Amino acid sequence: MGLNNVTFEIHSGITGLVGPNGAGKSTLIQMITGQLQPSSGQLLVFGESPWNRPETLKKIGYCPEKESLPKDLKPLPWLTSLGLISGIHPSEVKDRAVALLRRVQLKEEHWKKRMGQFSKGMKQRVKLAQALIHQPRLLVLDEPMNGLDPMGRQEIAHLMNALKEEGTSILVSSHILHELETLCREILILNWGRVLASGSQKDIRTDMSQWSEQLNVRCSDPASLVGRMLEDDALLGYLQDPDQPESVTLWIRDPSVFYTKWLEYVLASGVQLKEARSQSLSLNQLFDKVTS
Amino acid sequence: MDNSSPQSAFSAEPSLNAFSAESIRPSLFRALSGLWAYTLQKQLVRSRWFGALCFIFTVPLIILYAVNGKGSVGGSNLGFYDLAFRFDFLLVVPFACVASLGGVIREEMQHDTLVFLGTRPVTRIELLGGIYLCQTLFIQILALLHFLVFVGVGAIKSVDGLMQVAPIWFVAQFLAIWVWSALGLALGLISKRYLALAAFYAGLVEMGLYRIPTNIRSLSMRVHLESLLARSETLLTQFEYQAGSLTINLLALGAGASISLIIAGLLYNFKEYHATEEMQK
Repeated sequence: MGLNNVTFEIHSGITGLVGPNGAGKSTLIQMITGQLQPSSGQLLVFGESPWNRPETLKKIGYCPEKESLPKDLKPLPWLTSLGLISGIHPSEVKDRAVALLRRVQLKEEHWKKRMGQFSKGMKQRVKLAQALIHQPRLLVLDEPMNGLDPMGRQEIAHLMNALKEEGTSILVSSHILHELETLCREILILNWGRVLASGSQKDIRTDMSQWSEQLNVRCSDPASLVGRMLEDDALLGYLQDPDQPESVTLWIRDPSVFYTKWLEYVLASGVQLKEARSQSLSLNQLFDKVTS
Repeated sequence: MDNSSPQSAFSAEPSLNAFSAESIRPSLFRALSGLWAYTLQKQLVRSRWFGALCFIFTVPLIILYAVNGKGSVGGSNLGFYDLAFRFDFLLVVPFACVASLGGVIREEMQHDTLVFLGTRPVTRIELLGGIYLCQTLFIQILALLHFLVFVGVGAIKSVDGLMQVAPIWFVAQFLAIWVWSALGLALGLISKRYLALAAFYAGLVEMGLYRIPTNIRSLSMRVHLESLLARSETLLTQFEYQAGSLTINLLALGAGASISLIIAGLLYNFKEYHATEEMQK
């Protein structure tokens, strides 16, 4: 899947990247981490293209989704060699690798094992360590929670929060949306190779106001209320259940306008309002709505 | 929301900020030292020992036990040099180079581990060149051991002219390994059947064009390697090699390696960009 006309900014903190399979997430991540070059246009990270540019790549750490690690190698020498390739001074590269393995909580008893013997959780920790070995300013994590048990997920989430506190920007892609909702201040929603929405969760909810919002109303005379609203072209549609004559579901055209006139509609139609319930969408619902 | 997260067990561990970011300075030298460490880790695993030991010892041991002693039919000179140069130098060493370098990028791609190297702060040409240099250097070390075992067997067999042949043999082998390794790297990126491609190349160029008595035979690397070996009187009389210009020989070998590396560089970018099913599996 390619990307078309994608424009967005990633700010400091943790940014979530959401999209269904084939949305273009992997392509975007590969471009950000310098593995792919845009066929046209440009992608800038810290103001520079990451493609084939060591000075930019030095600021980026990448933890891929696939759990494959060199199965015959042991984690400490492997991290040490990657650290050297990344330009870390030979005198301190081993100390860094040791500090990182401790930080990602890979128990020392596993350091002498070959990585082919590791569990998914252990592999995930080593992958995180290799992404952090050169102290990147931007950490790109592709589905970092995949295959982890709830405890492992919580630990990775805590690590991400700790890194954020230290000033590392993190871009994390995941299909586990409720985890992104908890972790991320900002969200980027991709589909069909395009950015459908980006910004803080609050901004995205506001942006979603352009999409029809649903309001469930129970009143003494739904027909009068709906009639008043239709006169004002405030609705995209409505649904009345014959078994519940006092209830109606409204699909609102423009919530930001609708709610300023809401009381006016009620008073003008003369109905007795018994209940009005707006749907506050979770990120999951927003995602479904935007990508469906 | 983030601030309210419980204090992590991770945050109690020493922060990497304890290390100075100033000490991180990507350079070709550090990249090469890291790639060399990585190459050694990969090559020194137990599963690869058998192949390495076979390469070092098989042909010399065959000579030790199968070639007649001096004075017997054929004499040890003919048997030793035939196996050393017509079989080992022209077949075993090129096969080892192509097999090793042909798989080096392909294996990383198939196991999805190339990404760990490809996202390091080095240019793509430095990465590919570094992988080539380190892997070929490792083969050079094995080939040196192979050569020393060969010379040892030759000494046991009291092969005539061995000490006069040995320096030229070593230099020619050293140069040939860089050329065959570059060819292997390119063939490995062309197709997963790189050994079959190498056999096709050998049949077409190193055995076909080589036999055409015109200038076109100079496209064969074998011509230039034999020309180098012809500087040894013993080999000149043994195999009737044709000695040519040393400069042309060295330039031709350098050009052969360079062209292969340029093709490999172009294919490396192309294959990564258009990661096909064939490369993935």
